[in-house]
Amino acid sequence: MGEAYVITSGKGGVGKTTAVANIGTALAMTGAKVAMVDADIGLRNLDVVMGLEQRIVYDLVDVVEGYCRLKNALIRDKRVDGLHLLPAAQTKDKTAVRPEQMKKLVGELKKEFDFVIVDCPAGIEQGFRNAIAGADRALIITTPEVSAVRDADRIIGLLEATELPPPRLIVNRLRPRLVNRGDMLDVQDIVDILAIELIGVVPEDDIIVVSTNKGEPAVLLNSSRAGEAYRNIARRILGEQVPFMTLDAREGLLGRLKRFVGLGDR
Amino acid sequence: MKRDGVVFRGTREGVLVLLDDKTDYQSLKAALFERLRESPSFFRGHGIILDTGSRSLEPGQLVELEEMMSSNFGVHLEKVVHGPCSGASANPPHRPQGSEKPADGQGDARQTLLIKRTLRSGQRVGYDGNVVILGDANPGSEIVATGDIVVVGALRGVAHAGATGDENAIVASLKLAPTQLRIAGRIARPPEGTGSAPRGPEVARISSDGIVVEAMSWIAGG
Repeated sequence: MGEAYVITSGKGGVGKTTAVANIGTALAMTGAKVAMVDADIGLRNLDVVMGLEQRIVYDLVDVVEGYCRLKNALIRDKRVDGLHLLPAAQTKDKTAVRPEQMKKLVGELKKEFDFVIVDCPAGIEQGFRNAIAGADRALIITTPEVSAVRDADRIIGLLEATELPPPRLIVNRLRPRLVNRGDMLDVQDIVDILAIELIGVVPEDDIIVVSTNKGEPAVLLNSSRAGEAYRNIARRILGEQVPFMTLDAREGLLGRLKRFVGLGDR
Repeated sequence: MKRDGVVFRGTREGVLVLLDDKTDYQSLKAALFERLRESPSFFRGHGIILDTGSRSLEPGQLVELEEMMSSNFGVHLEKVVHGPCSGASANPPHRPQGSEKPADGQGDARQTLLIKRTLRSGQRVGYDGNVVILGDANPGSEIVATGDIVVVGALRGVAHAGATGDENAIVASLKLAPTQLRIAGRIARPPEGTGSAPRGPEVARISSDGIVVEAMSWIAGG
């Protein structure tokens, strides 16, 4: 029996879908069987980020309404063994599915997969309730912005009213240089307010933009710092103790070396 | 409206049910059942707050009451409080006592609601009495009390003490950094631009100059 995770944030645009794509892929790279579920019905994106859009035949709503079997709607990723995607419907909206149906669907996936990763839509309405319905655990993702942290806090409050264990936190798009200048919330400020366990810090990384547009998760690229951070998150999900990356703007040896030979970015 | 040891009172938060200290448990249970049965549609689907006074219900009794209410009347138990608070120690020592008559006309026996968790964004506590939060009150949260507000943690949200006009009400916190602070009819917000973090426990009260914030010197020791 697998475990279902929901990745949620409240606010839109903080990186939920990217996180699902990268964590799902990274987990599958370790040999786990993974199903990623796009619960953002009507605004589906996960298929695009994964580069699987053209292979969609059936979607989540088709499964729930009984038009097809679950296995017909699942898209197998050809790059990584054991990685699957259940896409959202694009022509319906959030009311096409009820929380009980999602719970049943995720329950079925858990029989087949080690990890079910649900991509939650932004907001706190029915789409959110659907997405958390079948989850065993939640990961909250936020960016170092006051508004995103505020929304994450709201979501944590809503999750506290459910039976889920305390969620864990991903801080996305951190820019160490701005933090050092005192112009950006640092990770500790965020953890102080949200008071939940930190599971990963993902630095701002231009590669994410490129990889998202190309439909190629950054974890598949060795050169991406964000990809490395997501691989670490996957290992922490698997229970490994992985030290947090040094994200100091005064980088490590490699960074200094790069700058020395003129390869340093920015 | 007292009768059979069970008193119903409407509060900002919902229906508060006070259990008399001197009546025995079985009679209270029967009385509560009767009262709910008299007007089931009024209570159905609502939450009630159970105030057990100085009595302490056994866990089994609490479960039994909760079960009785939910299965028969669709009423759920929102929370359980013990009141009245155990004396004046919750108030700062130099505050004139009883100068303001609380809205419920109960003399000085103001109830205190104790919340042992962090209030997060979007969560609101409204209470006819004092509110004590053991935890933080995060940005986007709101506490409204007719009496005092004490946050044993960081107060970063909005707090309104003395909401029905009590100008002697105070707001105290280990880290007083509210989005906005209101006492009775006065509103204050932190000075803009200054990132000065509070140094220690502070208390806000109304003085002749409006709302003032000062160190809680009698606790912090100067």
